[in-house]
Amino acid sequence: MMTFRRCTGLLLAAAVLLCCVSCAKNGSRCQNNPQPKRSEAGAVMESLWKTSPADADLTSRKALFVTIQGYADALSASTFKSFLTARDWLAESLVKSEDILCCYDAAFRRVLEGVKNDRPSRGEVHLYLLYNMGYIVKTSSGCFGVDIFHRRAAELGSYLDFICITHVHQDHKSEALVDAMLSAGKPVVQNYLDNPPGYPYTSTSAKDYVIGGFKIHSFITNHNNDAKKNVPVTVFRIDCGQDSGGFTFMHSGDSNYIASQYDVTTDIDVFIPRYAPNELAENSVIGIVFKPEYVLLSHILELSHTDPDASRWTLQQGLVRAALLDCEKTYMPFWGERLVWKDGALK
Amino acid sequence: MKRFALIPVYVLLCLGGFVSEAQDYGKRTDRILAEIHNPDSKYVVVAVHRGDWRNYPENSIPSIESIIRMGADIMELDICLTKDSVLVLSHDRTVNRCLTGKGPVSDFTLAELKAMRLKRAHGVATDSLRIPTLREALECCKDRICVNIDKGYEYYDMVLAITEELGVTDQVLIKGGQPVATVAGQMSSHPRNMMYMPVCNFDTESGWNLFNEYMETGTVPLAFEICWKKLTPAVEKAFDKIHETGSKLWINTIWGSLCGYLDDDRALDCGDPAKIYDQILSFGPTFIQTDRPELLLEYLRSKGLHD
Repeated sequence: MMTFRRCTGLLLAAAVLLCCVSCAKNGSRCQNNPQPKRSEAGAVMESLWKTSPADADLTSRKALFVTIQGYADALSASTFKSFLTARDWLAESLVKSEDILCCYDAAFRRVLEGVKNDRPSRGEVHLYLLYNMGYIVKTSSGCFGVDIFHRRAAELGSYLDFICITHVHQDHKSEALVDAMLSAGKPVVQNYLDNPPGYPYTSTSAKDYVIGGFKIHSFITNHNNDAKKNVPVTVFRIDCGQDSGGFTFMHSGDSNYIASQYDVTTDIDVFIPRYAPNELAENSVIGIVFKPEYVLLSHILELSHTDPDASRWTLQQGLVRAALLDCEKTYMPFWGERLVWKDGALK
Repeated sequence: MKRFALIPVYVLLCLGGFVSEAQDYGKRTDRILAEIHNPDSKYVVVAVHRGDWRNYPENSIPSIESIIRMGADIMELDICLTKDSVLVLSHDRTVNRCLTGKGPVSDFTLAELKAMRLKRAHGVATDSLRIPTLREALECCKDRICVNIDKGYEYYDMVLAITEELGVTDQVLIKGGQPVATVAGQMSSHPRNMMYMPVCNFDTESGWNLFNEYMETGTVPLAFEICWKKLTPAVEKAFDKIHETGSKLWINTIWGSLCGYLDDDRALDCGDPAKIYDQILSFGPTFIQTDRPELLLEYLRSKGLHD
């Protein structure tokens, strides 16, 4: 006759076995770390990514933007700056706890996945907005980034052929990515690096480059009207080559749109301007110096800035401004979104 | 009252830690501190005892993150010193209850403590949660939630060195039961100090003596933490004196014996938290330390006394 103790032992063993089978079935091991309630921010971003900045009806996006703006308003610039330099344990903790950082990280994962796995066909170009003014452009033959600023930016290094940095300000570059690119012998095109001495991709005046199938024309503009505060901002016009269907991309960083500084003689398919602090200064060049096919308004919700008065433009401000720019096809993408250029149109 | 002679002490104890940076949009600690230092504020500051220990190990990073998400104002924590002189978060002097080890905290190095796992409230060990250092906890709290260091006054200088390095000195309130002169002497040796609050347990003679010393010397701290079992006229009079001097009142509702049995569990058990918390509010507290932050926050929000 089975003793009570033996019977209990068998039951316990069966329970443990069942638990292990259940965990294995779920593809995870048993976790005894209490987990925080999952943030809804990830789902909000997934919902946003099901829409498009080019949608005729922006009602859904506007509603989602209200939620995302609320997340952003709850995060101070000081906490964001701490996050950028925090050790991994704290950064991971903040991503779990601060909704806007959950969005920020989700956007990175989505862009990384796209840059890694997407295979644009000939004549097609994929554009990814990572964060702030950071765009990655991928064609069938190459991939580059402009103004990539993200805590995890260095992870993109292996997938990029070169990067461009419009100017020295912290919210337009990632030191870790720059180091990764330089270590890998990949070009970092900018106007401020003096190390290594005589670096061929540093220029403080207009200069043309050819990198792979990409032809880059760069010229210098001002950041500020006040000469004492000014730093040079390089504008990049990049012809993405025949395999892109002749796609031309221009990124002006934090340029302050002085028309006489704009050396643009060819058509522009997609132009990336910043939200101008001076009311509608974008229109000093858009539609006057050049007529881009598309404008993607940028530099929205830059979390290292303290408030809208210090250029942390809100999503709502961005939508209002986008509607006022002198290009009919002006959109305002958000973090993690991908747009595809094909047959002369952006989708 | 020799008010003029007491001004230096007043400055040291009440304003010593209040040198704020420029307001930062969305920086929550600025908003909390503005309420704490506003004499006319009706806002009730919620301090959470050892973090969200019902759902995470007490005094752990996830327990801090959880109360930040709830919208609490102060993380109350306790510290101990390791064998290799690192301040870590621990209420108990031994690791027995909260970590997978046995013995005094001071017998282990930080590396040895980090090799142990934190336990949940029911004593079951987590898979991988580790004891945080004070520095790690303050890095987590910085600009997001204020901190109250309970057991830790003996390490004042060590704590201050860390808060200064992290730029959070203004966001930390430390408490103690030392005589006025001891505290004033300690603080006078630093150009900037944390906020300080004396703890007066009115169930002991020494608690009354400390309170009376403050009153007799005209020393006005930022707040008094008052503990009492039975509400007597003397206790009520003490509350009045605290308000009259411009100081603030801190009440612990975590255990009945600390607040005349008007505690969090009674608020929950009676079915209508207002029946208990209304009585607590009648004493005019600026700070309430709780073991049931969600319950208290819901109540205070319903009264318009918390954001």
